Amino acid sequence: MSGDRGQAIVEFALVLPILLVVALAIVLVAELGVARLALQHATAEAARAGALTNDDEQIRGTLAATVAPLAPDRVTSEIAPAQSEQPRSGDPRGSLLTVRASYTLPVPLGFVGLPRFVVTASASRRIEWTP
Amino acid sequence: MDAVSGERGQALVIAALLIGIGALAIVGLRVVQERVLASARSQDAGEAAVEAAAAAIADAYVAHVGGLRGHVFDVPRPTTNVAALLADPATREAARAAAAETAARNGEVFDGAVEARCVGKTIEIELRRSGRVHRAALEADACSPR
Repeated sequence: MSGDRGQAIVEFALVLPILLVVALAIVLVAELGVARLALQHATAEAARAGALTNDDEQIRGTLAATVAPLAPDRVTSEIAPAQSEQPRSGDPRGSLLTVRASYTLPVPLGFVGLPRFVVTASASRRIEWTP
Repeated sequence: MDAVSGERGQALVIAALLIGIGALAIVGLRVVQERVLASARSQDAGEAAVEAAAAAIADAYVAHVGGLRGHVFDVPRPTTNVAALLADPATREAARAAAAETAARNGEVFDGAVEARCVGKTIEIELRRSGRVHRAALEADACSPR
């Protein structure tokens, strides 16, 4: 058993898992970047919609419509202050509205214990709407 | 077969090189992503700031025009002076404060000035931040009184 036949394939089989992990990491980092940029854009658009309408439904609708290429059902959002609270329930013109959103990145091989990546973004706008 | 000319371990060397290139690619991607994201955040904060400044100026303009309505039967009739309103330190400070507050809430700093001027029947608002110029405009008939 001292011949060199098949040594390359054995070595390749040994390093293949490591190469696959590196390739997976590159893809994940790229996906993270896309998600962060998309979420930043979507929160800015949603906050702008909120500044013009003072309507939570419009804000969430805008967020869902502009978050592409991310899946809207994986995005959770938080609007501050709430529509039922002052100053938004009265005359909010001139006050600030903040939209925060988070997105859980679907990780391939997550079932083997890879950590979940959660991307967050927020944007604020001065409310221009008047009752 | 000596250590230099032997073929054993060739695949391991190539794999080590590929892993190094992969690690470099990851670091490069992260650096580029941070730059692109910082630029996008700065752009968004600038847009939010100039919109806030424009809204503050719009409020001052509406209050100015509304204030004149109460004196519409005065002789001589008062006239709007939007240029004076835009040059008023109180208007400029209100616009600057609104821009600074909005930029701060978006995680950015704005400590410059807001420029506003009448162009035709619009008020143009300009804000310079981090080498970028952000503009907004609002309709203002009183800029060109008949």
